[in-house]
Amino acid sequence: MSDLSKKKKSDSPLERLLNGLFKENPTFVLLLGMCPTLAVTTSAMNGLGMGLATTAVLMMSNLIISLLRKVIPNRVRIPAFIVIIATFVTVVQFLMEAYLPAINASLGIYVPLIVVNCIILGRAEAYAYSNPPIPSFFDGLGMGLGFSFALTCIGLVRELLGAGKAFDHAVMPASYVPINIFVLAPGAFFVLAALTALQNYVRICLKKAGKHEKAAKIQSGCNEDCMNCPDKGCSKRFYDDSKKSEAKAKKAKAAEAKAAEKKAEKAKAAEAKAAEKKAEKAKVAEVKTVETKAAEAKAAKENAVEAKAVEAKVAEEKAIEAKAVEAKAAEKNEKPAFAIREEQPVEKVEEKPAEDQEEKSFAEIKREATGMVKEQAKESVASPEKTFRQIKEEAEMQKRAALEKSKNQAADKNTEEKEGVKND
Amino acid sequence: MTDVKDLLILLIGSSLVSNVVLSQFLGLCPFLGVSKKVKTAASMGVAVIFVITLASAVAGLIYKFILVPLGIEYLQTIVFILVIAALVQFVEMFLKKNSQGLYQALGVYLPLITTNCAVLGVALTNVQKEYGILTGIVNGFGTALGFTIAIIILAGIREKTAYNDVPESFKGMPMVLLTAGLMAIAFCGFSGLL
Repeated sequence: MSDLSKKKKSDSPLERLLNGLFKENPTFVLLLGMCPTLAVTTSAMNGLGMGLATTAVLMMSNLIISLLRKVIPNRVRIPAFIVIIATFVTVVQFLMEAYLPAINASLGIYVPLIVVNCIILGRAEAYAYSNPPIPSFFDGLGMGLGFSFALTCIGLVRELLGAGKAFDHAVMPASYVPINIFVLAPGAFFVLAALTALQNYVRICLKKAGKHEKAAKIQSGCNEDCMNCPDKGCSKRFYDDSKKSEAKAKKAKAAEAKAAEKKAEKAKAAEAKAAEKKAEKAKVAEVKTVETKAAEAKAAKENAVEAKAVEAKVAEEKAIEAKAVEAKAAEKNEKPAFAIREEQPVEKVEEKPAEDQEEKSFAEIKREATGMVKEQAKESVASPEKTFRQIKEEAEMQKRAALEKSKNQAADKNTEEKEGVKND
Repeated sequence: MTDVKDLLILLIGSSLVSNVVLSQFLGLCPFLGVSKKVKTAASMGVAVIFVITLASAVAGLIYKFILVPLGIEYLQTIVFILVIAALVQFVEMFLKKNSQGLYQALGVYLPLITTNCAVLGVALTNVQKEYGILTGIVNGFGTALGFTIAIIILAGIREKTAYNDVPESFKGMPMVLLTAGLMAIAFCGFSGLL
């Protein structure tokens, strides 16, 4: 035991006792075992008797369950716990019948009903099943004493207000008129309501002080907060309807979202296709314009020098094949140049006086023309690239714009649908 | 045999006059926990009627034909709690297999009724008051009926008062308990009925 307490300081017997009495008081803090709390607290004596009977059962069941914790299979632990608890309840019941018949009579059916007191099953599940026997025993003792303390207090308040007595001794002055309702059933509800309100108040104060974690967590059978049980914990499954409907709503939303996404994707795809088509068209158109330009250039050159037209044609035909073509074009240029020279003599005959000049000028023209052609060819080579880039960029821009638009539209649709759902 | 008139009086007495929740404080957990909506409360009530009536019949039979002849009445607490737990499990499986509609209506509510002290309470009361089997069944049915009436009324009130402006400390369980207290006062009025 001492070894255990050294190993785990938090599980020392004294700590367990104080934990059950104050820190995790089953009634005031954990709000467990409300049925007997309400039913038997018509007087302080009843409360004390019930509390001590529960304490005895809790101690013994915790001890036995802790001893058997490695023997009991996990799957059948709850029935096993119930059998162990019921055994001790029966023992206590017969002991009370034999030695405390008056209290047994006034507690009546609530003595055997200790079996279904959720403190006992809760402690077995939350502590005894996973801890060694000695701390479990003292955990049971502490919890039981805390329960007894709470029941006695509530019983005292009810007895004092409802009958003007404390432990069956008249303590209030004779002029005090007892408020009968506090001994009757409704009084139990009112006292418990005041108690839970007080607990809420403490919790709120703790929250304000930033000590939210210190507010005790409930260790009932389901390890949840019994205080807010309507919302979670073991009663959660009673709200399957709402859960189902929530799930349905979620599914519907998800389906709508998917549909919207699909729509958006379709829209994107369509717009992307349209953009591609546009881009293709634009390409084609620009290619055409390039061709037309080239053709214009041809015409211009044909007007200027017929031979150069051939060069231009060659150059422009091979324009897309880039600079490597230029060399060939240059080679080809020379051939037509001869042809031009062959033709030239006719002109020379006609314009003899300015032969030299014309020859020079012709040579210049030739050079110029070839240069022009080359430049134009370069331009015509470069310009399509530029235009292609531009087209691509434009197309990409359009695509992006389309994507954004579709996204926005999809988002709008989603929000609209969500709003619609909310409104529904 | 018992008179029909006596059975009727017993039915009214167990359902209204000594209401299981509001004057005996049995089955408080589902009473406070499952009373948020009238629909779920009604389903819970029907499940409780079903289980308690069946359990009081089975417990009565077991007590009369097994425990008394063997002279082991002192084992009643253990036997009853195990029989009720097994019965609830069995009913759940039976409904799942044979009646899907009923299972979907009650199935969720069945497992938790095992730990509802009202079921064990009725079985023990029947033994304590030495009711016969038929009387015991009527008593069980009346008790469960009282539970159903109380939980549906509480759920109706809670639906109406859910969004009322109450002090921060009284939100939630304290308000429910105050409501239950006022209902208990109202049910005190039935005590003059018999």
